[in-house]
Amino acid sequence: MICEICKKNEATIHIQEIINSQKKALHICQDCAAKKNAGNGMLNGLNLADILYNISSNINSGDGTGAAKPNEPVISHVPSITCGKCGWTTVNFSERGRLGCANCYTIFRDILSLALKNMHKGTMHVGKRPGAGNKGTNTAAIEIMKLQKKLEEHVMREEYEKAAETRDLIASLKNNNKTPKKQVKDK
Amino acid sequence: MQDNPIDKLFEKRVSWLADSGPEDDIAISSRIRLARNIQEIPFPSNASVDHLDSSIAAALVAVEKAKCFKKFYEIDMTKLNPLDKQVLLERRLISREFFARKQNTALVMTDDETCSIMINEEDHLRMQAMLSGLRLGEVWNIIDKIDDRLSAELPFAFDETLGYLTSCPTNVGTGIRASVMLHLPGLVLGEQINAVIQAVNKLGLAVRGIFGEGTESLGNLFQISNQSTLGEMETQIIDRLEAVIRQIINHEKNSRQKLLQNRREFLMNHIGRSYGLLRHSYIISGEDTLNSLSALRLGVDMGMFSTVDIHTVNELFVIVQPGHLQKYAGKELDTSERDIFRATVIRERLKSSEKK
Ligand SMILES: [Zn+2]
Ligand SMILES: [Zn+2]
Repeated sequence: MICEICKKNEATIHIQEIINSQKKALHICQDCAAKKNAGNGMLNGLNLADILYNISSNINSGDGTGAAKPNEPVISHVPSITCGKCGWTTVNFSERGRLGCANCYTIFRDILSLALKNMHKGTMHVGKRPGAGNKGTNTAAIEIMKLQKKLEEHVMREEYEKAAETRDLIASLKNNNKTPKKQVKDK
Repeated sequence: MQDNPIDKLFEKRVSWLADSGPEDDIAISSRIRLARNIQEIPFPSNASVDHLDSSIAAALVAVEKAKCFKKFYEIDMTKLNPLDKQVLLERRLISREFFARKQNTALVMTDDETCSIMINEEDHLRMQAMLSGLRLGEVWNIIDKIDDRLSAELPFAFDETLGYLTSCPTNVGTGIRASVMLHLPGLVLGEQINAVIQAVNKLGLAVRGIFGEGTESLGNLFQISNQSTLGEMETQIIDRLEAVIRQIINHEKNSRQKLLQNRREFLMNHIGRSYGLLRHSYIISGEDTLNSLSALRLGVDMGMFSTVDIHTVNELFVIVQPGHLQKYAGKELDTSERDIFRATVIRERLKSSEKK
């Protein structure tokens, strides 16, 4: 087999083995691999666009073989989805290979589940978990932290009036924060 | 005015280069990064200015409350001048991605440079710990504790099935990126490096040159890291990486031994000329420097130089880079000015180590 990049040397490196995918394969020689390696790291990193590409053609080809059809645009095949929480779209996802927020993982689950299989050793998290403190926190908690930071800055700059205002704001937020919880309990 | 923490860094040696670690003739440093995001705030690339401020404030308050570090600096990256940013990058305290970010970002780092937390990189938090030599287990213990403490103060985005949720699905699950920086001149000179890279890639690990801007890896420095972050425990990922690293180290040792046995003059000539270049140049490019430093380091490892110690060479790898040179010079230098100043710094360092 001839190297797909220089079309000169014997291809000895087959990238499909790296990403553990049967669909995507790039056959290149050692020289080109070294160049690629030093260049953009794509040889080592996972090219998400490529993975998504294959999946999207797979989803829509429906022949079950998983054979990727080259030169078909990605986006036209994937149903357009938008995350209700952050506004991220399928187009954003396939262009950037990134998600917009934590909720996107639920919204784009179908596209992701196939992609994740190609990227990782498994599909289930078995590592560490956040501590007990992780449960029950909400946006108000973050807002309070933000104000606490502000408070610190005011105190440091000796802006005591502003500091007092911020302190009051924190107190009222903390109170508001407690009330709904009580109501839930009362029900 | 608060003292510039970057200036303070300069008063000390680079800890992860100046300290001794196991196998540190070949394994220069071990680093682990964890990616974490805060619930209810969109990931940085999709966040408003207000969101970005929120994640910075929340992270900074949490760091203080959690008492993660004894002595640390908080740095507003938007107020940092480009040269100081460059220095942080060259000391590997921040990533290239973070360096290039134009949005609101902040950095927390310990004064010994062992730990740092990038806030609003690709994820809200990218925390890292780094030690000299091959010490992934120790590094994991450090970063694991920091993560535990922060987790008690900050609500991290977490899913029962997928684990920690990250901006890029390639990091989801454990969010862990463990890496070891290796110096592999034996494998490069013995022309075995590509075979090794190929083998390592097949095992699902990534290899990249540390100074890999062009087509080759300057200085023969390579970083080996895990790619898969989901489906295995952190310790399994680390153990698997370490096992491979140990094999590479053995290959490197064998390769050096073979060179010494079969191509002794070639090797001595290569090292001797490189030393001469470093010791006596008045103009030297970054590329020539890194490659010569690699040869000098090999010579030191093999006991060829009694006067030069390995940590001087290690540090030179960092201080010959553009940001550090300009910081030392105390002014901006263009490329040709840098080549002259670089040669001066190297000559003086090598000369002073001879006197000891
Ligand atoms: Zn080729
Ligand atoms: Zn979203």
